[in-house]
Amino acid sequence: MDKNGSLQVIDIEKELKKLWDENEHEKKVKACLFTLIVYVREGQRGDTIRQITQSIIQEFPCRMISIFERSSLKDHLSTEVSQYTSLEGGVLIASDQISITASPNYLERIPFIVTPEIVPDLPVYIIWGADLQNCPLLKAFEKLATKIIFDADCSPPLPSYSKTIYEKIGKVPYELQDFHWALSGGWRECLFQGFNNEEGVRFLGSIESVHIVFNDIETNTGLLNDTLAWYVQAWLASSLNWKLKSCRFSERKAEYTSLAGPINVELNSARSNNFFQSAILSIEIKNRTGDTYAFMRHPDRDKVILHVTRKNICDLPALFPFPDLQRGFNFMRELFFFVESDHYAKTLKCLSELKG
Amino acid sequence: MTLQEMETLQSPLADTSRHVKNADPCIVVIFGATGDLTSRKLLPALYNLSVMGLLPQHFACVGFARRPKTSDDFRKDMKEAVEEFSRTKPISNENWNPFSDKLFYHQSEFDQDNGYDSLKNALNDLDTKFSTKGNRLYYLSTQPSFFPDIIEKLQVHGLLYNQNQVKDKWSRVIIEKPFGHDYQSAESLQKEITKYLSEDQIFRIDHYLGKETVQNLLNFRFSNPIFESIWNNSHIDNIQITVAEDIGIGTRGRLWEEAGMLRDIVQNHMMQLLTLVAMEPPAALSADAIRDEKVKVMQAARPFPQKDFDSFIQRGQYGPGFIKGQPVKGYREEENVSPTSNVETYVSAELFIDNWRWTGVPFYLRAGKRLPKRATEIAITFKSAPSFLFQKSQGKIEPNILVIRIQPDEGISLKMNCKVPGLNSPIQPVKMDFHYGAYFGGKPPEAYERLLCDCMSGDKTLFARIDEVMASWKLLTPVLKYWESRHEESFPNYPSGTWGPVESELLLAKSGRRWRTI
Repeated sequence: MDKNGSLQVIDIEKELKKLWDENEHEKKVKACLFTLIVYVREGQRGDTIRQITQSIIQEFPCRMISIFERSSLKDHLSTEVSQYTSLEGGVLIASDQISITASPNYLERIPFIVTPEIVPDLPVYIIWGADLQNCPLLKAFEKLATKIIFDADCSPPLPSYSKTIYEKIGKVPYELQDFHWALSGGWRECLFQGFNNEEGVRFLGSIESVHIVFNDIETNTGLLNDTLAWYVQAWLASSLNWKLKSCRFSERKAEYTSLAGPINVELNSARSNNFFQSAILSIEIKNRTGDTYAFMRHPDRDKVILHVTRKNICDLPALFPFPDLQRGFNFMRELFFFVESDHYAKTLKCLSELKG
Repeated sequence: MTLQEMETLQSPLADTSRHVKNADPCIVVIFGATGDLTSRKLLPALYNLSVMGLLPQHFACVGFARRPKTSDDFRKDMKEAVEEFSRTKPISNENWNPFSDKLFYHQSEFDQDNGYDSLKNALNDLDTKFSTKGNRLYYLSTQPSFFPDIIEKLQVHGLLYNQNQVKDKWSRVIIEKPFGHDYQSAESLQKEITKYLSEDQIFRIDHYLGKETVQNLLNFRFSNPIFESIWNNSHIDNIQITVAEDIGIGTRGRLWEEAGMLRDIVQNHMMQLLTLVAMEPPAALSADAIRDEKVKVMQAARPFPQKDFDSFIQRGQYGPGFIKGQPVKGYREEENVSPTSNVETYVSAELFIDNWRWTGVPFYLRAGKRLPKRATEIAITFKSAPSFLFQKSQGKIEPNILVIRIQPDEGISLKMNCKVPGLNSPIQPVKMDFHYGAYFGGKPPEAYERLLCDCMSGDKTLFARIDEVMASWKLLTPVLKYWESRHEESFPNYPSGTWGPVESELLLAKSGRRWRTI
């Protein structure tokens, strides 16, 4: 115990074993698919990330090591263990949870606490819920990671965050992922499905404008509600080889050029209590001949309606399944089980070029 | 009655299907009885054997040491030690009292002749009292430098028998590792002690061989044909053997400065694990048949190239760092350690065994102190499956890894690849995991319990034979000489709480491999 602070570092393995032995009568099965290390800083999206990690452990048994850096504390380092239990197919599944709370001056000890607790032979996923600058802890964790999941909203502005992540691609031994890329998975799938025919592909070659509406409801977490919208437009732009001509970031406008001519992208806000904050509520894409593809989130949250309007024809609306990508198995699949793709790299590059 | 005798005798009560080893009536004399080993391991082991009914009915134990003490003092001290270190607790008086009645203490210097004369008289009296038939087991729990003198004194004072002439009783000597400190000293020690003892009387202990999980290696390998058929260079990419400790050298500074990691762990424990993993199936489960196969592994081990040791074997020394969040000092700051010490606390090596089974398969060995956690294990990494069958989006195909955990959390795990449920889902590694404790409950017998019991019944299977010991010294002595001749300027070269020096990573990186995370 330090003189002026608090040092309560338990023997983690011993305490986990004790916990397990104490509850032996409950006939649980211990399971673990991976080690999940979550790092959050006080005041930086902690609640949001906690919600996400809660949904992760509800879906997948894993050993979760949460690290909470609290700058409001002085000379503090403490660890706690607990067990998360869920009932699956009539079997009680238990997973270990380890929590570490530290003041900034004790961060250097954290890798030494975490390293022995990694489950061998299984992936190590890290959720980095803090900014990318001034983080020696990230350097230590990079050596352990199978995949690091970053959060653009912890490291604004978006273009410089994207540039930092883009520059890591192909140069680091772990896979890269980020929340917003995972969250954009549903829309990417929908847009792909919506244009996945001859007319759709032809339409893509003649786009003139893209109008994205996102859910701009109140937030007290510093969440930037337009981030997801920027991701989706960047994915579209990079997949279709548009070149950025100008960007007015604060006005949420960008102009691109393609072989067919200029394309205007605009992001607008709306409010809906039916969907999570920053969710994309609709995407309307027009081409040069006046045809429109309008994708809208259905009030049943697991669908998207597509209305295709052509000059002389109005198609019947099509319904596409839309996975709940704020939580649940689909989100976990996006985060953990899809490998880094060229699309992600190109999207980041496009985002990194947005300035103004 | 020994196992051998039991197997040949036609007693209507003998049930050989139970395979219970019967230890012979005997007196165990522990030289250095006031040391750590006696209180932490030997007496708790004897006590537990007594509780399990595996100590011979006719038995006594004498502690022989320099400190002045009475037998009652010794019993009191040993009771405290057993209460602290026994794997079975609490210690009941019903179990302790009859056991402690058989404990005695004999005070003498190791080089005092009258001490041995009085010991002989004491043992003869105990033979009469406990009907131990003159059988003697001498456990040398002392500094290796005392071994020759003690054995000579035992011989001179008629406490050792020439087993070629004496058939109705036996005398055996258990010698703790290390046996010598290099090839020449091991050879010279062997020459000294074999003036007075035959090889059959010498039991060289390596307590790793007494561990349940180490013995399970042979069972696992040779009772599961599914694994034995792929236990070769056609299927295995590499084998990693790790002996990791999170503790430092503690109060053993003086000892450690003379030994180092190569002598303390690699030459004995590590080589035992290596030979058990790599050996051919023995012709029988007899001591000699098994040890013959182990020696063949050592004989096939490729010597480290003298002109390029550093590419194949690395050393390290821990510096200050953190263990479990607590700051710890570096090796050179430890008690009784020179501030410019050249002694290694970490060794990693790439070793090849040049025989039909193992050609081309690297064996990666690492042993170290002040590593992030305590773990001894053998990890067999199999060759990866061809990945052309799986699309890029399904991710990297991880190799299968079979891990035999020796300590702690004894068990075996197998890493496999499975498909994540869903359409077009990737492959995710998963583990099948067997934990001894979970399946079989309780704590298995400690290594020393088994080894002492085996020695009392004359079973040498789990004791190192001289040719095994010499073969491992032959392999490692050139490295010791090389290291002793060079002062390692980079020491200390790894912070406590990390997995060793960077050079150790490079040992594997040169072939595109890496140390497995433990």
